[in-house]
Amino acid sequence: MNVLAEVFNAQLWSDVLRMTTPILLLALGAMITDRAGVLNIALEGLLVFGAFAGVLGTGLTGSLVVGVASAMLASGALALVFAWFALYLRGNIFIVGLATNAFAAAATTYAAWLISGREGSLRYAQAPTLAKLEVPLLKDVPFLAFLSGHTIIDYAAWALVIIVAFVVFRSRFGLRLRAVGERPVAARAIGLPVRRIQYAAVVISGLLAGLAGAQLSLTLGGFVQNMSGGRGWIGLVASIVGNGTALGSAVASVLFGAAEGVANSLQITAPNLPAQLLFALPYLITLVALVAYSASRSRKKGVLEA
Amino acid sequence: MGAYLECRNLEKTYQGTLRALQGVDLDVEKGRVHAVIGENGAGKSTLAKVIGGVVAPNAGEMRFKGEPYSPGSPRDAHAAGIAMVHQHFALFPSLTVAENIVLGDEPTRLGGVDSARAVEQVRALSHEYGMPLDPRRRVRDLSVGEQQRVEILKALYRNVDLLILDEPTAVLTPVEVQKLFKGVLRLVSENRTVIFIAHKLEEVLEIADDITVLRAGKVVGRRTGADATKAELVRLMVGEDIAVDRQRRFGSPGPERLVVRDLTVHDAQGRPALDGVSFTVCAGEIVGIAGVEGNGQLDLELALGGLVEPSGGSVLLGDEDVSTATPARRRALGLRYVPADRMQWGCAPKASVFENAIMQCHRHSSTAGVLRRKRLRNDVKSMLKRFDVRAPGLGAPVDTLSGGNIQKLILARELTTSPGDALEVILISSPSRGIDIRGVEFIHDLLVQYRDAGCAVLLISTDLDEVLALSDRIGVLFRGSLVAMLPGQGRTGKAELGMCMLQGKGEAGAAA
Amino acid sequence: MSGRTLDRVADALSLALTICVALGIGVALIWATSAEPATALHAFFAGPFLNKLFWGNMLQTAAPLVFTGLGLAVAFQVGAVNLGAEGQVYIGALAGVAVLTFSPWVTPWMIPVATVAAALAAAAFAGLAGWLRTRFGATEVITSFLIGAALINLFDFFLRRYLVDPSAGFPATPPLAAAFRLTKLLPPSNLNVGFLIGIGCAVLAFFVLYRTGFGYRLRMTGQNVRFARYSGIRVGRYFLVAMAVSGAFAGIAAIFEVMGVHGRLVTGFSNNLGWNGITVALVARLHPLGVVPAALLYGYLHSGANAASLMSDVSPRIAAIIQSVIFYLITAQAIYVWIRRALGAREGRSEP
Repeated sequence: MNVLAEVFNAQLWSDVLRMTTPILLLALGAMITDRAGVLNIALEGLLVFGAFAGVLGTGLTGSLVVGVASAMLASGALALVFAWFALYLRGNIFIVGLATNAFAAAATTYAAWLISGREGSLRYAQAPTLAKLEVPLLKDVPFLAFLSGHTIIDYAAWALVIIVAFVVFRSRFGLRLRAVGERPVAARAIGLPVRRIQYAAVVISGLLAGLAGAQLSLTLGGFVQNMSGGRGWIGLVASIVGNGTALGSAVASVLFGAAEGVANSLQITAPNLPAQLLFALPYLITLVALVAYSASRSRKKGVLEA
Repeated sequence: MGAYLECRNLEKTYQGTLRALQGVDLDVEKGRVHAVIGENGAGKSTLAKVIGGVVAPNAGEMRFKGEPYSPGSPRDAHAAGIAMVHQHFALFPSLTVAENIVLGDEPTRLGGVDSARAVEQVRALSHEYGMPLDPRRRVRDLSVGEQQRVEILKALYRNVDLLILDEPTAVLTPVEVQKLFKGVLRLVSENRTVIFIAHKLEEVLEIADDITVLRAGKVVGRRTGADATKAELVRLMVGEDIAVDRQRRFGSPGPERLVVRDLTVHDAQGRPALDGVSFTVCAGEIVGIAGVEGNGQLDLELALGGLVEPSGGSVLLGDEDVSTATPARRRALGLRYVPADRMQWGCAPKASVFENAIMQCHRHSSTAGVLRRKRLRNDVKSMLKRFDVRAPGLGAPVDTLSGGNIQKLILARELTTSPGDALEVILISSPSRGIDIRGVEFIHDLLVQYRDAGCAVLLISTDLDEVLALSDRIGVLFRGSLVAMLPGQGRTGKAELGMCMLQGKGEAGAAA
Repeated sequence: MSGRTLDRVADALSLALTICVALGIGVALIWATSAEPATALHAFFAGPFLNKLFWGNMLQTAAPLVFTGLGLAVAFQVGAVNLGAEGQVYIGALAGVAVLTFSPWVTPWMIPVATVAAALAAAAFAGLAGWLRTRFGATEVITSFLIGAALINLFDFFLRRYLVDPSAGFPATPPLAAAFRLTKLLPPSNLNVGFLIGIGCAVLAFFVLYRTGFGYRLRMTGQNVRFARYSGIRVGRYFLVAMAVSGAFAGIAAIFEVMGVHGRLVTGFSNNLGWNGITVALVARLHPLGVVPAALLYGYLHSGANAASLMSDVSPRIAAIIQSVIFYLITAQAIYVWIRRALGAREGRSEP
């Protein structure tokens, strides 16, 4: 009982919110690319790239603004590469996505080694980290205090839920995006620039993934190999389980963020629980959510059934 | 002075092999309906796509309204005042009618799409041209005829002067065709111009002011609607005299082979796609199932083939209830199934001719699970010869073959029997879609042969002429129900069948 | 040349171009970042041929990739994407080592038993992802990854909790008994009989896929699953079997790596065997006999990079970057189409 009481405290909720941010940003990006008809397997790599570039940019200039901007630009550029190989050179979208993940992992560790001489980590001692912003009144409200004390990116992520929803479902770009994703051949036939819209969607998901990467590395104050921890995949599943809507993706992201937050907090509050099992927890919860969602969708027997 | 739209010497070659257009000239006058006719593969659709800016010609030039015209995209064509309504609609089922129509030229307000204005504009447009439509409905809920109206309004929204209709009547009931023709005449009366791509001659003769005939990528004749005759156009299209309405002998039915009772199938949205369909097919007869496309044909063939599970009713092959049996079990009981969608269900397009051909017979030509390749190769060779399949080689991928040869390959595979195989019922759907006239003749003769040998044949087809020419009895599908079972063998006229396809009239003939 | 021959030549050329571009980028990277590029490049390209140790290790680096590559090729052939092979490697090794550790008999006869245990354990989890697809329609692309990622953590847990050797100084089991070690072929290198068994498996896989009715039906399921169903093939069954087989190969790769090279279970021992198997399968164009040379190419890359890092100032990570470039280019249809078109045009000119 004690464990439970300690687990469900304000600190936990604050953790959950923080853990949700990268997943949420990735899910929004995944949703946009999915609406354009591109399954974005590359999110994991885009996230890693952004996390690394964020540390590098901040470390070299001492400016967090430059750091966040370079994270977004780097991930956006890598997303462009991903899109180029998939759309222009017509590579298999899964394979090119995996290639992007492999490249991001290899290139960041190699670059970290070149810069710092250490394999797989990069840290600048003098570099600032993202500040936690206290919201004046909110921080004193009993049950809502956990909403205060987060970084600008955490707040921005929630604003982006609304912005992305508007862009996808109300704007001209969004209408065309959905048309392209639903029937690309028809979209081309009526003269929509299908490729350009798909490039745009992938690059937007790259920018969002870069922001997610910046949140991870600039909150921690350094880049560590494998710090992405499968979030690219979890974000992808969040957008699927969220049924391709911004709000749905947000709800699913909170669920997966909670899994990570709980796993994290159990490590501290229940040190006798093995850490490795807690690490596996977010993957398993994501798996269960995906299977449950798929099962609810495919009441009719699928093509593979026989 | 030149014509309204002039095309000179258009050439188009696809992927270095198929020469779809070979020096085509076309002159279209303003304010007229200009029909372009030809057989499947004559190059009609390619010509339409070149004019519509969908594909670029390899050579040749066009002038529109006296100006040089070379569209790089459908958008360029729109800008010049030309739009195309495709055979397969370029619509987005999850979007509304209004969204579909304004897509690409959306009215905007405060950075978003101004949907209120879009709805208003679309409503006004549909009134103006007498094409009633609710702008707020989703396209996936519309009938095929309504979807076509959306396509045409889409072009009118862009204020085009020249509209290309690519085989617009293929998916319509006779009544809907008449509605369409009224709309076309209205357009022409407002001094707009229509290019009408078609292969049904009666319709062409009814609506066209001018006619251009294509054969194998070349223009082989130009006529005006007034002085053309059906026989002459057929000769031009085919290039030789072919008996168009050859009389065939009819069958003498034996015992029941296929019994369908109250068959019901629900689609993914839970709506009944097939609703209590009952009929029987006897040995030695061809039962045709007519109907406008999208009235449950696909669900019927898939349910009978064992590829979707019916939600009610039963299917009997001989004495065995196979309602939920696997495709393999149905085959063992003597059902052979030639699907309408050859590339999706009927073959593995990237696999070789050999690999596609042995799908059934390989089970009889293996020793302890190891394929006897030499024997299989000989079997396949004789199979291809018997069914007149022309392939560059056994190793060629199937998608390099023509539609007719792929269809014959599928027939060869399904109808070739190994020792111990039963062949009682042939289920064949849209067998002549996308196939040239000679191939169609071959397939029709084959079906009659098998019928005469005692097979029960179920022919599902949207082509009325085909159904009328071959069937001993004719069922009519309308909105998932079998609304009539009419006598075949020349005892039902085309007009009567056409009326039946429109519901209501069915009850009268249901007794037959 | 016939059209088919041209297709094959174009395919081979696009493969060659892919590898050349990737190596070119590797060379450029070494040139740009190394203080002694000549030494590094020499070591990179000639390293694997310099002595018996390097040569044998190069072959041995390829060995587990033959297994994982074969498994992934089988999965791809049925149309399944198994992104969990990395986790399947670990769980296979765990099961195999558990069998050896708790076996009362210390004889080489336990080697096949452990191999079967490893294969079964890995196959079970790959099959689970396949089953989630056939039963619930959850895409195996994502479920296999999630299961695999969870398995890696599970492996670490069991290793640290139940099998760890406290005296090792890092998370590893005690060394295996000598009776459980695979025979070395080229001491002092790590090359062992696993390499030969891998080649045997490639031939066997080729025979099953291309010479039996079972393999034919499996491949046709991957070519067009609708056509397969229509033809009476129980496609769900083939899908499951192919996923399980791909897992089994991952398990075999794992236990051979443990019994042949490391001699104990070590955390992180796989070093991307599962992921690299995907590229090996793709470079092999999913053909089992192509998997062997494709794996050797990988072995060469890795040993070259290792040699370069031993003899000069570059990081062995260079191999991972070259690999990812191959990964990027290997499925690019456009490159093939360009080459095919260029060949076609030349043909056209030479035969007027």
